[in-house]
Amino acid sequence: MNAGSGAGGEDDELAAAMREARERFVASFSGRCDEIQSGLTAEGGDGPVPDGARQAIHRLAGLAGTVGFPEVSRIASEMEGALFTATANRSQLLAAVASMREVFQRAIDVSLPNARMTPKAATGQRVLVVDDDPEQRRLITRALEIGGYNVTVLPLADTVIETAERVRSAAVLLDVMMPGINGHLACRLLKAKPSVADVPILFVSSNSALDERLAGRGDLAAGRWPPGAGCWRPAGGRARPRPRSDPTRQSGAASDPRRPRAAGSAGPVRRRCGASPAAQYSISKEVS
Amino acid sequence: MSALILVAEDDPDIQLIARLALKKAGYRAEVFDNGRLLLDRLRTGARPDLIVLDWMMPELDGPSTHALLKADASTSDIPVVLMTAASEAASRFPGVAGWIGKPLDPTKLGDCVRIILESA
Repeated sequence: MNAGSGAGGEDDELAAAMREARERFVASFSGRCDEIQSGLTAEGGDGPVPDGARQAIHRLAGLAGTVGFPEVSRIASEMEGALFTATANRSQLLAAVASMREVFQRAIDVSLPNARMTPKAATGQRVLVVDDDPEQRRLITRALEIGGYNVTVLPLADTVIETAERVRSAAVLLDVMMPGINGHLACRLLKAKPSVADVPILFVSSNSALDERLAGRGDLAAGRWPPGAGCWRPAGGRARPRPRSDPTRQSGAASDPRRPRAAGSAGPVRRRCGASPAAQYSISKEVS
Repeated sequence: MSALILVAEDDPDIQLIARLALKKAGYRAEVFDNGRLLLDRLRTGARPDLIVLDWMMPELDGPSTHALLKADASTSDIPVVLMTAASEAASRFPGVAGWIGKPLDPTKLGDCVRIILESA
């Protein structure tokens, strides 16, 4: 029995799956490490390592190498082996988690296409980033600064309105899943406040399902934070939708001096974020 | 008809990548979250040309699934491959047709399967 030959579309399909798996891995890495760490420190660090932590290490070892983090995979595999043979104590395993985080961070820094670029001159525009994950905040801040933006970060959304007003943010990036006020609620609060209601909002989420996007009624469709998008810019902003059949439909960003322009090489954010123009249209319609 | 490969792997991303890599290589592939679900599929009449089992899975892991497959006369002749980072242990594991190293390299999975199918 023979195998047939693969078609070009399958190449694309596999490449897209690899890319998305990598994005999900990057977005989840910190949480995976936290899960392992809390398993290793549970009950004062005595007794057998909980199954949840073992599984998390095993999955990390398996997936990291496949999605392009071989060093992370190597460390996780060593941890798995040490757990199996009981040849490492908790503090050694915790040190391995720390070194896995470092190795991951270095790999991410290298993978940012413009990581070695000198940041562009500040545009004077400020972007407010609200995300409870410090690693994501760092990544987003770095990418925006390279793109020439000033960045204000918040770990929680409880002061998002006051902060957006105070710093006169040109755009707000909201993580969807946050403790307390989540991204959807924060979006509604911002939209209900006249002084900041016209500030474009982008959701940062690993869940690109349309329902998820619509639930927040953001100006732009929700999307995944694209790792590697070093010069990514919150292009488009609050697009005024034209009929979908209009081939000239553009983001409309250029007409508003307060709104960041799209970086030519970066492409429109909705493409990078995996959100369709149709979704953008629907959502813009909701909030207009 | 191209060869049918059943894969048991608990990580959803690896599942998808393995399925697409096998599809790209021209195989028909079905993936399952664990060995138990794969065995259930065999009971509904699937006759795969090869079974790929992740070593460590919840509910029913690779070695246990392999043992059940070999103990059942209706499935004992289906070649089984273990997928694991512990390649040394896998290479010594009795009764398997081969092993695939982890981390899984999707660019090599099709070739690995072809080689194993040809030698099985």
